[in-house]
Amino acid sequence: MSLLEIRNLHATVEGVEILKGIDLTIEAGSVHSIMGPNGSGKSTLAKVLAGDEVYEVTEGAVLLDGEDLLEMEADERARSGIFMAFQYPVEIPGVSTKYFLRAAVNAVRSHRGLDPLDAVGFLKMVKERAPMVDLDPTLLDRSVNEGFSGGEKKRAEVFQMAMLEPSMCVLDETDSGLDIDALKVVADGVNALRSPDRGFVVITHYQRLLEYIVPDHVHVLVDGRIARSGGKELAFELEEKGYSWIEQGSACGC
Amino acid sequence: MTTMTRFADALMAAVNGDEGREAALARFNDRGWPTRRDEAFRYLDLRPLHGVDWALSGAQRADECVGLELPGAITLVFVGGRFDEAASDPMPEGVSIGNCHDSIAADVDPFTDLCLAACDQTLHIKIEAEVSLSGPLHIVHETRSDEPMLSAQRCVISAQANSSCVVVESIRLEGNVLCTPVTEISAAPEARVEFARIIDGTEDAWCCGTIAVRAEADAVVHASAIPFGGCVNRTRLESTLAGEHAHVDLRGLGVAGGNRHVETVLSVRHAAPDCTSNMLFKHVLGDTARASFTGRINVDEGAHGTDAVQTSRNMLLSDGAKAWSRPQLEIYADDVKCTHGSTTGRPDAEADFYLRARGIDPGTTASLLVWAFAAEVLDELEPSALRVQAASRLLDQLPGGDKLDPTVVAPDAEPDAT
Repeated sequence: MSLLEIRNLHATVEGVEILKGIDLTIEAGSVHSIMGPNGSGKSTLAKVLAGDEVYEVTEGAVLLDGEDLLEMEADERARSGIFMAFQYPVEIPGVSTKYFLRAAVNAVRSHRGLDPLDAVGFLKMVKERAPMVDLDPTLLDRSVNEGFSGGEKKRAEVFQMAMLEPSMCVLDETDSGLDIDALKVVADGVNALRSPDRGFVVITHYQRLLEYIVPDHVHVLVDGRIARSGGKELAFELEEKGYSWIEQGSACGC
Repeated sequence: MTTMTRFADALMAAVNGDEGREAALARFNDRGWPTRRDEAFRYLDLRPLHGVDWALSGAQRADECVGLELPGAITLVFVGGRFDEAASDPMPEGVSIGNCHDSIAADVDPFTDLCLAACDQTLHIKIEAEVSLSGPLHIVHETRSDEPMLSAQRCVISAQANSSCVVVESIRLEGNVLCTPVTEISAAPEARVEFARIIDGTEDAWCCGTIAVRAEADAVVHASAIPFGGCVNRTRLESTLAGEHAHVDLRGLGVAGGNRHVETVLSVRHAAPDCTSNMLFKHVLGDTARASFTGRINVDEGAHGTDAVQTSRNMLLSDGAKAWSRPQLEIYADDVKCTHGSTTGRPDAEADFYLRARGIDPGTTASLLVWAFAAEVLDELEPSALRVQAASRLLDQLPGGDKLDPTVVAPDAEPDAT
């Protein structure tokens, strides 16, 4: 059984169809990159997988470990193993990051039949994993994402991913707004989390991120459909020729 | 007034020839209950109070007094408006109970008049010059009654020059009760007063109170009103900045569900130059609850350098909930900074999705967002133990609140910070 199976997925926002039939199968242990021009539906795909109710799925199916993902609410999806790293992590003044994250970790643990972590066990885990993305642990004393720099927000997203140990990670333009040093740190964090029982969808506009997170498969999304799929060399080809090369070409390549 | 025989008789007996109290009673009798045509009562329907024949503070026992747990506090207990010596700590120096003629509440309303007329056990708190009260003073008011009862409570805090004190009032009302707490705070030059009133009440209880503040030069007064529960919860907050460089901080957090009404009538008068005032009032409303906020700022002639900030924010948790917000500015001085802002809205949907996308169930995320909204008011409460107590009372009222830990929800309250 595949980790994630997307079949003929159509989705609309405010009546406008953004995803027009996506088919994608992700095996555990593999990293798939989704590239594409602005407005092609990349972020929509991420949010539809995470369960954002702003988007309406009009057709198709998504299975996570064989379970019908689309029947689940966002929180149930997260507990079942989906994790989306937000392109724009939301600032929530007044909610302690540490408290929020412990609640999240324990929600996921309870779903997996594990005992909840107490404050000590949680802090131990934080100390272990914060260095993975070079995260200043004092950030956790602040409100969720409040006053974090762009780089801190993205590192915090990957840190949360490390804490929640999802089976299916979706990174929505995690590279946007990062300088090259921050990009390397974030990529190192992601690479450290790669494992045979975990799948990744890495959404990016630029090939640059893929120099650091080397994908097994690259898909090019154009106008709500996967226009071309290939190996990592497809990313380099895109960098060279631009998206217009595919947009002008046939509906599907390989 | 003819139908209110018992009540009228009881009031007459209570004032018993006392000039100030007679005057208050005369005002109340002359004016009668205001209607909604009265500017200050535009949003509140007082008809349920018409003709009610209240008893004045009956005999009650504080058999299970539910005060707050404030470590190091000196607790003074009043039951049905009467001081309960047995349930209280020994009275510290400067604190006494007696009659009180004068009031600094400038523009009295019917509830204040009722209180001034009916209360013969005013709690006087006098903090001598240069004295800092070590622990908080905790005043517990409990009133329980099935029959209509008026609970008149009055507290007069007089902080002398360069003194400081923390006073917490917790009011618990059960049953058919109208409570009219009046607290007057006079802060002499350079005095510092922290005051908070927390009100808890069953769904038939009314609480219509006043907090009046007068701050002299360089004095700092923080006053908060935190109404939880009760059918109607009205707080008049009246404040005069009477000396240069005085500062008042007035805050309120109202939480209401059912068909309850929370009202704040705020009035801040800048009577001296270079004073600052900061007003922040928030309401969380569910079901068909209503909140009304009237915020008045007066800047007198000559009060130049005034800096006044007034904010009112409402969070609506249901379609049936409703909030009104009415700022009023009257400025007779130049070189003045007065700002006011008001917002009313639902909990942030993006924040809600973010929390749920991390596996947290919808009930808990909703509670977290309400908490986050309220934290701005609660985090400023003194002493810090009060924040936790107020938080747990807030969480008690939220659907997923029982899953949250009031001691660690707030970023500042995290006990195990690295």
